[in-house]
Amino acid sequence: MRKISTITIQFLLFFALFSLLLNSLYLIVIMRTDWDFRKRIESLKFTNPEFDLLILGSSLAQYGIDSELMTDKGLNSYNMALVGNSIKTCQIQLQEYLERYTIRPKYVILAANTFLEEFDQNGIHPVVEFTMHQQKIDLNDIPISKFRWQGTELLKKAFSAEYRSGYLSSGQLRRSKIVADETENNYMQLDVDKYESAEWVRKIANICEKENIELILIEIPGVNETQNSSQIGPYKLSFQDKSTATLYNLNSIEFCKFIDPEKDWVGLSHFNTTGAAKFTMKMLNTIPFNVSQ
Amino acid sequence: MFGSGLKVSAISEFIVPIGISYYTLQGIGYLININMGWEKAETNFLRLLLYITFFPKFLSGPIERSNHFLIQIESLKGFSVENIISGFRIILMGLFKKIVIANQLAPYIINTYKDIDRAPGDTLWLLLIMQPLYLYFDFSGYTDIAIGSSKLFGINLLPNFNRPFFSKNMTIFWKRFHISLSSWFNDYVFRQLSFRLRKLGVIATLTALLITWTLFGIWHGAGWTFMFLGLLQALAITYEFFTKKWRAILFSKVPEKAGLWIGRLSTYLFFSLALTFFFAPDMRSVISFFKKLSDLSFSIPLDGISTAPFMLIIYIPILWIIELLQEDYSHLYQKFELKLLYDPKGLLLRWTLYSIILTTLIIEGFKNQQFVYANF
Repeated sequence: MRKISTITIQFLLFFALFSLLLNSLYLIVIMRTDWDFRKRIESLKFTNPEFDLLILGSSLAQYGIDSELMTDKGLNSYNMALVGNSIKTCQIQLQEYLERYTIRPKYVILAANTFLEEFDQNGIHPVVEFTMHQQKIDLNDIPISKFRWQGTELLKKAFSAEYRSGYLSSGQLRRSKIVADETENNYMQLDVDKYESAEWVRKIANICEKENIELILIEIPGVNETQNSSQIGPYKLSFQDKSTATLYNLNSIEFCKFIDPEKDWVGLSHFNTTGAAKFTMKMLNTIPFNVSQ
Repeated sequence: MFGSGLKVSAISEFIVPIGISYYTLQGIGYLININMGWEKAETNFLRLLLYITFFPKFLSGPIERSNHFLIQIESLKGFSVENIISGFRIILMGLFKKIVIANQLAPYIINTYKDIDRAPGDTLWLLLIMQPLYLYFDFSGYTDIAIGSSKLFGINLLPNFNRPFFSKNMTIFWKRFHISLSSWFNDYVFRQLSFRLRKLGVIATLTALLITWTLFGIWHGAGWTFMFLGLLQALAITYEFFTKKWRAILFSKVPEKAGLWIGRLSTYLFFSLALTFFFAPDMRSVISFFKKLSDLSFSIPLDGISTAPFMLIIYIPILWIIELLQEDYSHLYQKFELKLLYDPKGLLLRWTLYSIILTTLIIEGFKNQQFVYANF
């Protein structure tokens, strides 16, 4: 039994050292290569950012909203959306941005898709959680486990030259690959109540109201089967705490007529570079932004 | 029950099925052994009870033979360092197969079979190729955990798998896949039946084959799908039995290695097709599955945004290469194994490998995924 105990202790010590080395190395690699990590670090290191518009949301917004194009059109924009982001994380990102920097944006766009996304998830994006101010780090934060998704992304980049060729531009992730949309319209109705009853959307609306920022909610386009037959809007939303926001249903079949299902998608309701540019232009023509040019 | 709101029927639904198919076969096997005089009756009730209820094998086997198990109990010694190290090593491998591979495949297999009508043909082709791997890694993972746990106490359970996907035909396949079950049916059903019907000559073998494999299918569950699963195996083995000479002549004209790999691939493909009867909930789903296979759009169901478990692209080939080395290059594998497991200089490499496996277990997490063969 003594021999077994000795071997066990020796192995556990070895495993601890191995894990420490492996996790440190993994964290360094992920921080340097992962799009979400790089963007997060970039957004925490701005010096006096003067953005007119911030974009919040998940990968649909990260791929789909061309912030560089918006800047060219006179709206200095930054795309803060992250892959797999919850709306709670969007609220944390906005709060943190406003605490960190003095100049307020005029607009905040929160892009979501009622068909594809849950609005009341309480999870925080691991990259945001890991880099949050005063965030306590515990055993659950072992990098190799916490950033499992980022590891998968790294593997995809290792195997696919096309995936590797993706790049960030003002926070937008640009990829040129084309995956045709072969789904059909289901003629559903937009669930406006889902926005009005969502706790974290309300909190974002509340922050924007206090900071005198105009919150614009957009139902971001998805492939045909996710699109709805409701009006584009705008819909004036008012939340329990009396804060308000404007919702544009940009996933309506009528609005989405500009999309070429054969060319504009990169897969799973995400726009490729061409689709994102087309969508952004169409959005700029639909939403009456006060452009300072 | 006693005002607790608990229904006895609910308890019976939970308790009765656990391991029933396994300990029933073990009990029947023991009684046949005694009846036929192949084994002496165990006089110590506790030993017999231990044989039936021994925890590592209780839930999903392996279906242990009494004359293999009880003899070990008699000569059981205390814990040994070698057994404990070897046991943990086998358990670690089992956990890797189950958690790192099978659990990642499970959601795709289970969810697709829940709604076959919505699944595209391309996905079903991918599923067809993956389903034997899912079953193998899930079940052999469980078996490794059971064998390893048993080894900790110094008890060697019967092996259940022996690189089945390197079998060149279905007859050999069933000597290497779920060995404890197929050998049980071979010894206690097929041989007994063929002996009793021996006057009928070839008809006896055919009848025995058909009955044995039908029972084998039904053992998995009372349903047409399982019965067809068994019948298909009977058909394949009968075909191989009658065409043995003809196939030998045919394959003598192709290079040995090519013949071997044609055999291996066709065996894998046949088993893949047969497993549709195993996983599908009913015959309508089986028909729907095969119909939709022709509905191909040649689009790859895994694009860059997909959340598919891409790490399997690394894990599965590694295990496949290890098994290939064991099967076709055994001298090379044995050399490597000796160096890795028994050479004191290999300690660092050995511990690094264990650490890598433990790390992958942490990465993939202990998701709540049932073992496939725990349902029987």
